[in-house]
Amino acid sequence: MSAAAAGAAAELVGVTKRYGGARPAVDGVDLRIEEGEFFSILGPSGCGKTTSLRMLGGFVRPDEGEIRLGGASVDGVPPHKRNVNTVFQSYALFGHLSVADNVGFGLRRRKVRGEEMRRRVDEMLRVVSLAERRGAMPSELSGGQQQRVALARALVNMPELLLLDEPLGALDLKLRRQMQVELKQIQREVGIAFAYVTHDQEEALTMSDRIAVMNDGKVLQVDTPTTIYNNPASLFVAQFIGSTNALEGSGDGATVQLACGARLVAPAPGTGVADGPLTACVRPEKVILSPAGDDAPGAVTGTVVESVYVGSGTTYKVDVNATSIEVLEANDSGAAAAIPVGSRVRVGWRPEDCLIFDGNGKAAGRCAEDGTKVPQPTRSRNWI
Amino acid sequence: MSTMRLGGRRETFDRTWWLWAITGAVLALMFIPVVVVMLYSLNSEKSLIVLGSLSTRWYDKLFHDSAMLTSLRISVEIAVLTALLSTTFGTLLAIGWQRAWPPAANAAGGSILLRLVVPETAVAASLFLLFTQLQVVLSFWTILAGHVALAIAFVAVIVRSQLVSLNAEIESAAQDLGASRVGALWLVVIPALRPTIATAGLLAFVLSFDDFVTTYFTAGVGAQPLPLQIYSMLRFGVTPEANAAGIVMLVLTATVLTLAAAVVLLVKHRRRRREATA
Amino acid sequence: MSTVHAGARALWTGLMSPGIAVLLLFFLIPLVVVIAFSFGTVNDLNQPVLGFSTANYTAVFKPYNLAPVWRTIWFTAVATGVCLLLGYPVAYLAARFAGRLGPVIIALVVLPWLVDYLVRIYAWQSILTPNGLLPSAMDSLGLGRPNLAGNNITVIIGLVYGYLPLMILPIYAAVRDLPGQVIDAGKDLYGSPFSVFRAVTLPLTREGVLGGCLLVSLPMLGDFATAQFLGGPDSTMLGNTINQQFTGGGSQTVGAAFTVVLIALLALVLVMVRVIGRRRIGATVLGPEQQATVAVSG
Repeated sequence: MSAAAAGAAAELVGVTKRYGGARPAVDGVDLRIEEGEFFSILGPSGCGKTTSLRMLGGFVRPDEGEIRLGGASVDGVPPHKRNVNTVFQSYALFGHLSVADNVGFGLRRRKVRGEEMRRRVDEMLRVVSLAERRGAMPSELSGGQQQRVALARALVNMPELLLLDEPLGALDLKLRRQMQVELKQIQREVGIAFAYVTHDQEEALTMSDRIAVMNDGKVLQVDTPTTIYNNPASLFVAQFIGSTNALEGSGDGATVQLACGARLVAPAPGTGVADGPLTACVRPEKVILSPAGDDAPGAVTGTVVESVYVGSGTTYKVDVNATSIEVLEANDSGAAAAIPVGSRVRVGWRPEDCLIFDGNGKAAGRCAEDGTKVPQPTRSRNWI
Repeated sequence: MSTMRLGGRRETFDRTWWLWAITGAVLALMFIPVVVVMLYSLNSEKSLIVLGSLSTRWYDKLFHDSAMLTSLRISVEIAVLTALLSTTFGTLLAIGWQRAWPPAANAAGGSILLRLVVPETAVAASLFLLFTQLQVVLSFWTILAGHVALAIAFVAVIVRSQLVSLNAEIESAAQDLGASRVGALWLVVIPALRPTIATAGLLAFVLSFDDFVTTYFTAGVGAQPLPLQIYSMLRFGVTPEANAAGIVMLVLTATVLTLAAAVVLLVKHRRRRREATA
Repeated sequence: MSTVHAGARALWTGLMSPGIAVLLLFFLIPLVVVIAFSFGTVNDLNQPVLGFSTANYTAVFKPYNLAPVWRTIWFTAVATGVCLLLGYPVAYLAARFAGRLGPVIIALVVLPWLVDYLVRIYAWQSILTPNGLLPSAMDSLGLGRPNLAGNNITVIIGLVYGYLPLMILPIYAAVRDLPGQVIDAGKDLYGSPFSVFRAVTLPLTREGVLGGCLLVSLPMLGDFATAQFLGGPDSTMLGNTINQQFTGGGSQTVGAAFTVVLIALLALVLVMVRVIGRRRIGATVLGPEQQATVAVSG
C-alpha cells in the first residue's frame, strides 16, 4: 500500500479520527475506491461512515493515517481545493440562487464563465432531467427535484470522486426506490466514482459495485453485494445485511451441536475450526419446512407460532426447543396453502446455506455435506 | 360560568367579546395621545386648551426653524451611521458568537445579553461619567458611540437567532464547490441572512433615531439631535411646534420603513424576473 | 457537525474584534468605571476622584434618597402587572381569534411608537392637567375640574403606556406558536374556560409572559422622562435621581452609587425570573399531563 496503484480514485490508509470519546470514531480504516465504481459505505449510525466521508471531502482532518485522492496525499488540503464534490444529506441548496445558479456555483469558483458555463450547466440539468426548471428557485421544487439539483451541482464540476451522504434519506419510500435507479443510471452515464454513505442495507445492495461494511469505527468487510450477502466475513455483517437466524451452539471441531437441537457437520473437519462456542447462521429464505413425522434421524422439529403473509411470501416463526427460527417461504407455487399456526413442522436447510461463525464472530466457513438427506421442500401439506 | 348552561362549553370558551373589548380599550389608550398630538399640531392656537381652526402654522414654523432642521439632519446622520456600523459589527459578532474560540464567544455572548438587560439609563450615565473623566468633549461622535454600543447588541441577537437555524451544510457545500471559508460566508451565509440583517439594520435605525436616554447623556452643547431638541422645547413649553416635530418624526420613520419594505419587494421581484429570463 | 479547524476559529474570533471593541469601550468599561467611582469622593471643585469610601452608599441609604428607589420598585411592579393584565388578552386575541386581523392589531399597537416618546408622554400631560382635555370635559359635565396629573397614578399610567407593546409582542409570539389542538384537548379535559386557561394555556405561554415582564420591567427601572413630565415632586424615580446627580449639579460619585443600585435592581429582576423559570423547567420535565394536574391542583 505504499504507492497508490493506478486506478484508485481515493484511498484511506490507516486512518484514525478521535472526537474525544473513549473509542475513536474512525479506527485504523483502510479503504480503496476504484475509478468509476459505485462504492457504498454501509453501517449503523455512529459507525464512522459519515466521518470517513467528511475526511474525504476535507471537512474533517484525520488524526492518523493518510488520505489520497487520485494517488496524491491531500493532507491539510481544504475542501475548496480538493477535486471532490459532495451531495449533502439536506441537499444544502443555496436558497437565494436559482437552479441554474446553484449548479453553476462550482464552475464560477473555478473561473468557468459565460457560454462554457451555460453549456455545462444545461448539459448537467439535462442529465438529471431538470432542464425546464433552470430558472426556478429551490423552494419551488419538490424533494426529489431538489435532490437532483444537489446531484447536478456536484457532478457538473466533474470531480474525481463524488461523495454522497445518505442523499435519499429525506425522500419517501417510493421516490427513494425511483431515485436509487436514477442515481445508478446517472453514475454509469458520467462514469465518476461515487462514494455513497448509507445505513440502508437494501439501498447499498441495489446500487453498489462494492460495499464496505463498517461498525464501531472499523471496516469489517469490503466486497461485492453478492459476496457480502452470501459470504459475510463476520457475524455482525451477516446480521446487518438482510435478516438471518443466528443460532447459538458449540462445536468440537468435527460436529456442531446447536441449542435448538440440530447437529451439524463442522466446516473442514479436523482443521481446528468450529471448536468451542459458535453461532450458526441461516437466512430465513434458506430454511426448508416439511411436515413433521417423516422422521429422519437427527431431524429437528418445531411448532409454528406465527404466520405473517407479506405478499410475495409468507414468514413463519417456528419455535424449536425454545429457539425461535424465522422462515420465509416464497409464494411461488401459488396454490400452496399457508401452514397453520400450531402445526408441527420439520426444520432443515442445506448444509452449504449454514454459515458458522466462531466465538469472536469471525466466519469459519459453511457446514460440510454430511451425507444425510436434506429435506426437500414439500407441497404435500399434511400439517399436523 | 352561568353562560355555560346557556351556550355549552365550546361556545362559552370561544366567546371573545371581552377580549375584543380589552383590545379596543388598549388600542384607544395607545392612540389617544397620538390623536391629541396630531390635533394640537394642526391647531391654530398656541394654547393646548383652546382649539382654534385647522392650521399648518406649526409645521411652517418648524420647517423654517433652522435649529430644528439641523437637529433633524443630525438625527438622520447618526441613525444612518448607527445602522451601518451596528449592522456590520453586530453581524460579525453574531457569527463569532456562534463559532469563535469558545472563551471569546462566551465572553462576547455574555456581554451582548448583559447589554440587552442593563437599563439604558445606567449605561448612559456610566458613559457620561467615563467621557467626562477622560475629558472627551461630548459631541456627535460620543452620541454615535453610545448608539452603536446599544444597537449592536440587538443586531447580534437577531442575526444569531437566524444563523443558528440556518442549515450548516450550505456552508460546507459552498466550500465543497470551491469557495474559501470567507468566500462561503460571503457568497452563501450572508445572502441567506440578508433579510434578517436588513431587518436588524432597520431596527438599529429606528432605535437610534428615537433614542432619548443615551442621547441625553452623551450629547454635548451645540447642535442637538431631534429628541433632545424636542425635550428642551417641551421643557420650555414650546409644545405646538414639538407636537408638529413628533408628527414629522412619525411620518419620517414610517416612510423609511415603508420604503425599506418596498425595496425588499422590488429586489425580490427583479431577481425573479432576471432568473426567469436567464 | 463539522470539525472546527483552529484556523477557522481564529478567523471568526478576529472578525468579532470591532464589535467586541465597541462593547468593551462603550459598555463594559463604563460600567466598571461607574462601579469604581461609586466608592470615590469628590474634590473641592465637585469633581469625582477615585478612592475607597462608602460615603456615597451611606448617602443612598438616607431615607430622603431611598424614597425614589422604593417608589421605582413598586411603580415598576404595579406597571408591569397592569401591562400583563392588559397585554395578555390583546396578544391572545390577536394570535388566536383575530385571524388576519391579528398582525394588524399588533402593527397598530406598535405604530404609536414611531412618534417621539417624549411627545407622546407630554400628550398625556395635556390630557390630564387641570386645564387639559379630560378635566375640562368633566367640568362641562359638572363633575368639577380635578388635577389628574402630577401624582403616582399618572406616572404609572405613563409607564404602562410607554412599555405595553413590549409585553404584547412576546406573548403574541408564544400564543401563536401554541398548537390549537392543545387548547381543544384542554377543553375536553377541563371544561371550564378558566381552568383550561390556567391548566393549559398559561403554563404553555409562560415563556412569553416572563419574556414580556422582563422586557417591560427592565427599562421601567431606569426610566426618568415619564416621572419628569407626568409626576409631581413626590413621584420621582431612581432614574430622576441619577439624572439629577450627574447632570443637575449633584455629586457624580453619589450618582455612580445610585447607578450601581439600579444595576442591583436589574440583577434582582433577573434572579426572580430565573427562580420562576426554574420551577417551570421542573414542571416541563414532569410531562404535560402531570404538569396540567399540578397546575390545576396548585
